Amino acid sequence: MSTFISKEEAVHLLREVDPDDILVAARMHYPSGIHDEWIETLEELMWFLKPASDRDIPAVSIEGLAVWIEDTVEDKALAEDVRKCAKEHDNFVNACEAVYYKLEARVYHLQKVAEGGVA
Amino acid sequence: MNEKKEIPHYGYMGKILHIKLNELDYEVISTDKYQQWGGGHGMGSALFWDYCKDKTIQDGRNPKNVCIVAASPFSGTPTPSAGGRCEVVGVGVGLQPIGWFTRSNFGGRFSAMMKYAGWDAVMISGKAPYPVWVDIRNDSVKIHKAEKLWGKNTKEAQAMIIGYVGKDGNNWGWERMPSDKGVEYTTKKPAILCIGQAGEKQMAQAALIHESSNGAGQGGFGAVWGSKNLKAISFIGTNAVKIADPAALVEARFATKEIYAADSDKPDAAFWGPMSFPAKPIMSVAMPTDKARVSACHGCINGCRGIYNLGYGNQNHCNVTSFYAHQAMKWTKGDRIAASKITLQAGDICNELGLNTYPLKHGLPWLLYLYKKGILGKGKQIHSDIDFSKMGSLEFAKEFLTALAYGKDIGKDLAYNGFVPTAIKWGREEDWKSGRLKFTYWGMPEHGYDPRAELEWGFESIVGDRDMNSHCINWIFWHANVAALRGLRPRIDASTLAKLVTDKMKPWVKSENALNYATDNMYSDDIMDLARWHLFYTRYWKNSGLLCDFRWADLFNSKHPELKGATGSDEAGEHIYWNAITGDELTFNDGIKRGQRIYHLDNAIWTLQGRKRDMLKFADYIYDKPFDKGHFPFYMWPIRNDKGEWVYGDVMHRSLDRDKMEDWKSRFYVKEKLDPKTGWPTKEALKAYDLEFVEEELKKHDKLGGKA
Repeated sequence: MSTFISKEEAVHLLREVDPDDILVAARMHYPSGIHDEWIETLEELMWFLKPASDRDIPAVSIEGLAVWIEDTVEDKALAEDVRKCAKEHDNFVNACEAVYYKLEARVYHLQKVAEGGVA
Repeated sequence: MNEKKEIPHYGYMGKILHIKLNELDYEVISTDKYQQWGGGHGMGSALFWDYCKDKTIQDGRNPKNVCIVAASPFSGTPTPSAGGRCEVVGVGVGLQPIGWFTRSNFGGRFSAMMKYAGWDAVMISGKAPYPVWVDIRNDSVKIHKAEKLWGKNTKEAQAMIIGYVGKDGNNWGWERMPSDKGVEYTTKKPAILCIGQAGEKQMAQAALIHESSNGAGQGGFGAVWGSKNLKAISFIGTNAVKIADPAALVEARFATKEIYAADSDKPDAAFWGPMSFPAKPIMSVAMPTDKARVSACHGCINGCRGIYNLGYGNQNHCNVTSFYAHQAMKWTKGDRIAASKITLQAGDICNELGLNTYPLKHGLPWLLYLYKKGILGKGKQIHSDIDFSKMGSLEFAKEFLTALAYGKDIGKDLAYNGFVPTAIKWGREEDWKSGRLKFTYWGMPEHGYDPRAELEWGFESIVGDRDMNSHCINWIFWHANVAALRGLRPRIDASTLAKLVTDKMKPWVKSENALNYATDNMYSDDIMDLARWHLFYTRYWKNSGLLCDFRWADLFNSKHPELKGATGSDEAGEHIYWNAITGDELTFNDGIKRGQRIYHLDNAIWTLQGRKRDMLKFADYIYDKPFDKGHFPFYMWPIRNDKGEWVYGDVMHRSLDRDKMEDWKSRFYVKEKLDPKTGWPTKEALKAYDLEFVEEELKKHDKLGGKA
């Protein structure tokens, strides 16, 4: 993933998307229920995907997620990484976990750039 | 074992308490006439029919409404996952397009204590001239002024009643009880069902609360009690439930434990089937403590609630722990523990105010959307003084939930009328139609299981009166999808599962095809038969027998050597417990037939209330859009593929077809002997289901249907 990114670009990628473009995902709490999560930023997506307990699985289409990152957030590099994760893992939960670590690295990097810490 | 004994009322206490609030008096009704309906919902529907003089009322706040809170023969007994459930019926508040005759259900120990006090049900009619609460100690029934309780939250009100009933002032020691058997003492505490401020203000979102988080939320029964000036009912008793064959009951319970129920000594993380799910609190948030124990309703073998050392969040489970979780997570910037603390406390606030959390599941994100779009807020098109930028904080939860309970700010629309009427009033009907405000049927929020994929859930809700909330078949979703998501081989293959499930449903379903949710089979008679079985099973065994939804029906079970579930089984089936307790000779299918009869009695009431065929429909988005937004990677379900083989296949990416749904309804009506033009009961149906006693009333209102 490219690390050459301007402060303005980082701020843009970390922004809150328009309410009409929110990513509607869900959380499966096995077996107590399914709960919608309305994701507005990359950082929120990171919290959403963070591995929790064995009974807690994010419910989202990984391709749908990649499309949202690419088209709405406009982070093509991250979207590419997300698609790679899906290809490299044979099951959804592992792929989600891999996406989380990619996303975590990306978000922290963007935050540093946005704060002016990394060029 | 099942020979009828001479002493009547095995499993029943023999008496129903009718509280006549208009007169501040009560009468005692014999249970005899109502035993044919089982208990719970069936008994409640029959009592409603007999005692509600105007069955055309369309709002539960109408003083003519009659509300019944009923136990069952299982209540107060050690029947696994059944002894503590309690059913509430009556005309509801906040449903669409009218307040249907509806139901709700809660756990704990209220129904058990009702029976220990000597009662099978309590029926409330009329309206008290001032706020009251009812104090029942065995046969002693007193209606007290509730001036000191009115305005108190559910926790405070229950504490005050416990203090009042326990006169020794020692915070509960030995208490003398009125009894016809001489002097009796008990160390038990009363079981109390009450309303909070939301009920007092008659909010559609008001729940009845017993202890904490045992709530009858759906149907707006808190508003019904508030409209009747009824704050609380308290039961305490020293009787016992007479069991026809105690040895058979104990034998069945041992069989359940040994053959079907989760074994804590040999935990099986990959269990399939509700009975084999281990005892664990059903929380949707991380627990901010490791000091916890499992808590259970009366008689349960595997508890699903938790008691914690935090001083809050006790008993909260399921949606109470999730409706605010996502917002709190945002507020705490992803700190799960901090978010959980807020979430649990928000749940406590709802319990105390007596608020149903379900509408908030999809209601809160919609409000946040309106706020972010600049439509809702201070000085905006929809004015609110509440600061929505703080959604997710405990401060916001307190302010917003209090506004809902007291009908202040936007609470006066949202909580009093419900989210769907409010959306229409605010000019946001399109949000409801498009699914942005995801209230799928009858003005109620989607439960999490989309009717476009999970057919039985949708179809049964549409021919009923509310979100059906019955998970028997839904367990398949969880097991099949969690296995697929984790890349595991399903514990039970699709073909075996289809056979196991449908074998339990015979003769109601003809073949395994009833579990085939493939798109080309969605509207088939086979799927309809599955939905009919489940509708009637639920109406009797769960809503009337009061088996817990979380454990029953047990249609398959990975602990059983042949993967068979406890449901309908010869050693631990529903009827085995029923007969051991009551001395009846009921078969498993007899119970389902009773459920069918109860459904048709309910339909007669809905007909009198003004039900028409065209009211039975989903929100528009279910027809207009495929089920594919965000959400799931897939929705696996047993299907037959192109080659006719059973597989777990994805049933997302489809919508329902209006014409085909209409055809489905016509065929359902014909199958149930109802008038296909209107859905009203016909003479033929009334005869078939032994409901001829309702004919005259239907005729009087010109609502007897034509030939099916």
